[in-house]
Amino acid sequence: MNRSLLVGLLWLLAPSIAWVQPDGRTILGSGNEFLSAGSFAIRVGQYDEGIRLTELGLRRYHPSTADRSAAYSNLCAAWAAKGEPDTAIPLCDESLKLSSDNWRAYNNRSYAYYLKGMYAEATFDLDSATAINPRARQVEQLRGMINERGLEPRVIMEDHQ
Amino acid sequence: MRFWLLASALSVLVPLSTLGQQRDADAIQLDPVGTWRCVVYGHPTYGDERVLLGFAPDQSARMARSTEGGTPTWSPLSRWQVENGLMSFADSRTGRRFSADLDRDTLSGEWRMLNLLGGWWCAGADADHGPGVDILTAAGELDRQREKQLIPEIMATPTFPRQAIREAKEGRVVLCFVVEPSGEVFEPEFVELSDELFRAPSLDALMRSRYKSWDPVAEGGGRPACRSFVYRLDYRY
Repeated sequence: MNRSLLVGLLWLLAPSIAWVQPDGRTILGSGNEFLSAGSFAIRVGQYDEGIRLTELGLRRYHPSTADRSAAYSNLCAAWAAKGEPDTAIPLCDESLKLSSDNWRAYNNRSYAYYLKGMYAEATFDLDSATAINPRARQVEQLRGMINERGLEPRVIMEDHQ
Repeated sequence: MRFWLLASALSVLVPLSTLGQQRDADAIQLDPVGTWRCVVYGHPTYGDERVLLGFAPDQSARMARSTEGGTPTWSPLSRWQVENGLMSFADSRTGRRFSADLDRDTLSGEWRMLNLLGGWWCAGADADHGPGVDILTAAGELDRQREKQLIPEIMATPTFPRQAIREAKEGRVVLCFVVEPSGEVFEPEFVELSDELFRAPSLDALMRSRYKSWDPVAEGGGRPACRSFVYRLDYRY
């Protein structure tokens, strides 16, 4: 179960933790290299290193508001990937405070809520992410995971003779 | 096990054409003329109705309902007609419009009202019965019908498709079939299928089901029946 969860998590996070600007650009070594290195570390599963580098990037330089929002979203993703949703959620909150149209932050927070079993909150955040980016594949994957946990299936059978 | 898998796979293939998705121009169409023993289902008030439907060569149609101990009742229906392999007629008293795809193995289809939708399925009656004769109440037939009730022995529950849960899809399936005296289910046919996701689990569950067997000499041969599957999803939160 834990293994499948982790696989699902990485599957979800891989695209979302890439160092992507809100307009969709990917930063590759330009601007704040600590933030870029941090996102790379998170993407390859080195969460602690990714968190350290991202925090360095936030402290030592003065990133733009959009970059800070993306950095907090990445931190949120990393803590969620570590299985600590309670630490992750305030970081996503901070990201969204800086940029309310960051769909990745909504997606990451949704995953954190999912880990806590708060499916209504997770669904609400997913709906927000979908409203911003309706074509995001990760959002639909996470919605499927939430539905599997949050929906109770039943089949009613009736004979007609 | 392999046999059932094969049977399921074959059965899945057959109804594709019966649902009218692929019409074969050379296919032999069903001749509706005659008297049919039918089940009309899906109406919230009427419930499941067992009726006789009669279709004459002059395109007149009639329906007889089973009334316990009452007067035999044949009621006229609108004239039946066939267009592009689709038979249609109406019951003006209830406002139901019936239709049937004549490419199917037996007479069956759906009925519609203003805001209701249901289905019907027939097996050929043993003999034609003239007006004024209620076959179900005549000569204690109703009692025999009671004895002829199919009694499920194994009612297998289908697995809710995982993909449907992930996509939060609910659905409804109606399968009609014949139960042989051995209690086994034969000739399953999809009368209603809301989504392809529900096809395999419904058919698989039906084919794993069994009814109580009976003596074919004393109580007759195969009997028609239908089973509906309603796939529901409830929020846990």
